Order: sequence, then C-alpha cells, then structure tokens
Amino acid sequence: MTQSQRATLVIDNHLDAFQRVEQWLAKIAADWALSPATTFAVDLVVNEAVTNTISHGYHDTSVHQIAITLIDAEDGVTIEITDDAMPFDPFSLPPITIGTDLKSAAIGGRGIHLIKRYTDARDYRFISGQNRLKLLIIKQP
Amino acid sequence: MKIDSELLDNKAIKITLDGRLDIEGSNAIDMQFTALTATKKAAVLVDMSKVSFLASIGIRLLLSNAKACAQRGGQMVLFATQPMVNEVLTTSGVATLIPIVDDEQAAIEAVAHVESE
Repeated sequence: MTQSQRATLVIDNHLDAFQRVEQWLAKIAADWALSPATTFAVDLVVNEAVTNTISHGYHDTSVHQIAITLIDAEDGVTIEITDDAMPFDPFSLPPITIGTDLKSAAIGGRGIHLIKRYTDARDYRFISGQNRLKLLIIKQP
Repeated sequence: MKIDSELLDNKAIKITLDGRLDIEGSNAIDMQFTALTATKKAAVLVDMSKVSFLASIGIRLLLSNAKACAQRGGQMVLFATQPMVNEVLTTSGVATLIPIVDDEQAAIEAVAHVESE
C-alpha cells in the first residue's frame, strides 16, 4: 500500500497570494506525478474555493490566514481548506440556472457549480470558529 | 497573461489570449479586453489556443463582454479552445451561450452576418 503524502500552504487573504498558490500547485503536481487532468481539476477547485473566501469571506481589513492542504492517496487527491472567514457552506446554495440565452444568462455564480462538478466528494464544517472544506478529486489518467 | 488584437479585412476583431484566465490573468487583461469587445458593434473572434487554464473569474470576463458585444449588435465567438478549457466552458454552461468553433476560418464564418462598424 502506498503511503499518502501531504503538503500545506498558508496564504494571506489577499488576491496577490495566487501567484504563490500557482507555483506551489505546479511543484506538487510534478513531485506527485499527477496527470494533467487531475492537476487541472485540483488547480481549478483550489482557485474557486480560495477566490470565494478572499472575495466574500471577510468584512474587516485585518490580515487573515487561509491554509490549503493537499493529501495524495492512491486513488485520489484530497483538498482541505481552513479559514477564519464568515461561516459559509458553499453547498447550501441552490444549483445555478445555467441559461441558454446570452441576454438573460447570469454572469456570475459559476464557481461553486464548478467545484461541485470537478469533485467526487465534498464536506463542509464550521468548527471552533473556522470553515473547514474538504474535497476529494478521484485521480484521472 | 498576454492579449493581442488584429483588425481583419471585414472589420472583425481577432483577439489572441495567451496564459491563464485565473484571477490574476483576468485582472491583467480586463480593461483592454472590454475596450476591444464591448465599445462598438463588431464581430469578435477570440483565439483561445494559448489559454491553458480557465476559472470562473475568466468566465465572468468572457460572458460580460459577450453580452455587451451582443447588446451593440455584434457577436463574440471563441475558437481553438484547449480540451480542458473546453470542458470548463461546457461544464459551466458557457458553451450554450457563446459559440465555440474549431478554428479561425469557422469563427469567421460564424460571425459573417455581423456588419462591424
């Protein structure tokens, strides 16, 4: 049985931190030999979840930390995101209406939809003042 | 993220995007992309062949400007999307809102009915 590997990156709640996230994810994908499809899915899901937290989660000007942990197992990659933002269960929102007409289609709201579609299991908890989001992506060849 | 534009013979605008359409990339090209696509009636062809990543912030950029373009009587079409970016466009529903075609020639044909100003 292959032992699981894990890596954690802690970033400030500022959109400038994304460059660090991108570089960190690229290194992990190479170190763990993740396929391009799995790497893309992890990249997308982390991007959407962290963007949401930074853009909507804080109502003060203090610096907050967001911890992103990746766990590599034989079949899948688990993403854990922990932050002290306002409590928010991303899976409590109703599904978006995709729309078929450009004129009336909603511009936003597609990030959580993408998280749902690119993950295979999802868990959200608010514990001890922290949002804890856990997402599983089954590895793709 | 890089953006280049070219005025084609029929006054259509061809825009080439190069890089990641994440929050950083989208912010970097937002103003220029909007100026090119949403300020006059035009056929807009967006070459996506060098876009390697697309997040919802990039989708927002494409959709809001495709809407503005259509409101002025123009039309936006995307072409030559990479497979994983194409999957995001399909999964997010964008593929039903903005035409996506295989190559530049198909894009020119898709917006041939638009008389660009």
